[in-house]
Amino acid sequence: MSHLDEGTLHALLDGELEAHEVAEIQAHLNSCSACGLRLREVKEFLAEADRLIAAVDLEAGAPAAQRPAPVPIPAAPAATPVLLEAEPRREPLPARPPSQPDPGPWEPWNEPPPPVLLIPDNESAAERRMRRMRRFGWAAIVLVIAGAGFVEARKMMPVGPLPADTLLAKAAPVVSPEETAPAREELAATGRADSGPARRANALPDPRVTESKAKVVATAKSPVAKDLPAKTPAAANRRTATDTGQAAATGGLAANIDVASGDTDGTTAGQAGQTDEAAVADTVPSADGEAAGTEDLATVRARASEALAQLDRERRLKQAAAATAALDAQRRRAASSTPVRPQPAAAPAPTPPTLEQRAQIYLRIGLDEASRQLGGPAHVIEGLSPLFMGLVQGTAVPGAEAGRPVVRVVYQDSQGRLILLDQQRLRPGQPVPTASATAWTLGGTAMWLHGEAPAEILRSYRARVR
Amino acid sequence: MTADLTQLFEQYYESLVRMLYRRVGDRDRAEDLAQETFARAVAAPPNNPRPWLFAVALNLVREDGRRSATRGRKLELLRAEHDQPANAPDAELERKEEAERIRAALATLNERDREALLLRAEGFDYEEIAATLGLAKGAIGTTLARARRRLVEAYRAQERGQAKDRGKHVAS
Repeated sequence: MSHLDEGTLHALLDGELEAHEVAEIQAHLNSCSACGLRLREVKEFLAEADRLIAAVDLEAGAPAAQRPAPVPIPAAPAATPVLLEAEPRREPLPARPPSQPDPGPWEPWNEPPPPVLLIPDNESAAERRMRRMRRFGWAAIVLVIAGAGFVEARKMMPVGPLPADTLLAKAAPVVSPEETAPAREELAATGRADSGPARRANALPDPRVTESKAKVVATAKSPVAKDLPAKTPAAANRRTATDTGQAAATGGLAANIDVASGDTDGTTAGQAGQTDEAAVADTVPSADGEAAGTEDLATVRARASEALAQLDRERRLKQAAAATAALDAQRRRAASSTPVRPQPAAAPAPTPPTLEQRAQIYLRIGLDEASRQLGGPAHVIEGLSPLFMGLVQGTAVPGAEAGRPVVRVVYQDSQGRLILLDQQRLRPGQPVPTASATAWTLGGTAMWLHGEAPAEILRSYRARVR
Repeated sequence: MTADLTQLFEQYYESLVRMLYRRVGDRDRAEDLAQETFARAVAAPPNNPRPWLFAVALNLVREDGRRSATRGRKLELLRAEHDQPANAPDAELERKEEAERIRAALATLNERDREALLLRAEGFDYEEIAATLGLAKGAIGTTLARARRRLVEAYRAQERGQAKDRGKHVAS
């Protein structure tokens, strides 16, 4: 079968051919890639032409709503009734959007993919509730985690040292009710006003608080405090102060320090205990008389607060030293690791050459131009679909006339290698290329077959050139 | 109007007006010509109505075209089409401009090619086109092939020309 002319292809796409004609054409199209190319070209023209005509629709004039209805034509009295033949009406071309070309009549190669309609599944009320619950569950989990994190962060936050007064005031309840009662009486009798924070800290704790902390006191009392009898009110008072200092030294105060500072280091508490015990040991023997007792108490408190401040300083120093050590270690690690050389700016990746560049084509052409150049239809490799056709300089093809372009049909095999079929019409007097496996003449046209495929593959393709 | 003619009117009037509008570019004129065509159908009822109606309509277009040329009506129409309201939306203007370009491209076709194309657009098969235009059925494929190719090429040329004009306008 000879090549298909454009009119036949239009008739084919318009659905105007008989079934046997369609079968013949389809068989030809399966074997003739040139006609396949032409068919694609015709389809494009047909779709574009239909789109253009459809774009000039009645809507392009005045809107139909503003138009008067067509005036009915009065019946001619002499008119005879017309018997209309029952012919199926062909639907006219609807006005289509420009982006939707005419798909043409149904053919296997025209069939569009089946439409897919995506419909979400219906969700029952129970599923909706579950989904909501899940969402709330996640929110609750996030809240719990955030809350726990906040609490932990608060725990880890460093707290400054509490004022000595506060600590001593906290330590004050170590005095038992039996011990405080005489002291209160003695104070009432002497009518002596408390003066100074140390005195206030020692002044008569609330019995309820004292009772509630009795157990703590019992465990916190040192044997020294137990052995001291309450002989005189002054002594009682002094002993209260001593008890306070001892309680702080043996546990209560240390516990307060730990809680306040968050310091879990046992040695710190031990130090605090030792410091305060030493203070108490110094204070107790010299306690002689009320003035002396008051002085001792003030001294104890001053020393306690000093010790606490010292402890706090030490703790801070320790923390700072640890942090500095960590920082230094980090710096040393960074310094010892291989210095990172600045990478030179990555050169932009070279753009891969286009197929036209690879095929050295300076102008893409269609079948018509190829036929014009060659004085007849272009030759093709049977069974292979060409990618495109184009013109290359005559100088680029050894054996071709340098002054005229060569028509190059470009193919690509399954491995992406380009196969080039060059053709140039032989002019009278033009030297015929030396016949070889990849150069020959075919009906007045010089042919060259070359490309990126191995020679044996090219030879097999040569046998299929039509 | 008899029942058959009423049916004929309902069946083909819109298609006829659309084809005539694409051909003459003026809706009023297209409707007048369609009315005239049906008036002739009433006077001499056709046996094969669709090709007959369209053939008569195209003949009327040709006659009208000749008369219009003498009256300079074309100029009026062109002027009317170019006198767009200043505040017309861009999309509407663009659509009208494109329609003008297409009509200009259609005008470059010869009479027979253009009519074959317009009849095909109205759903005529090759046999009906051949009957309407008095051609052989075997020639319709080639006629349509040539008409479509020329229409597309003329339209593309128009587009290129306009783009060039716009470029000059911007440069100046």
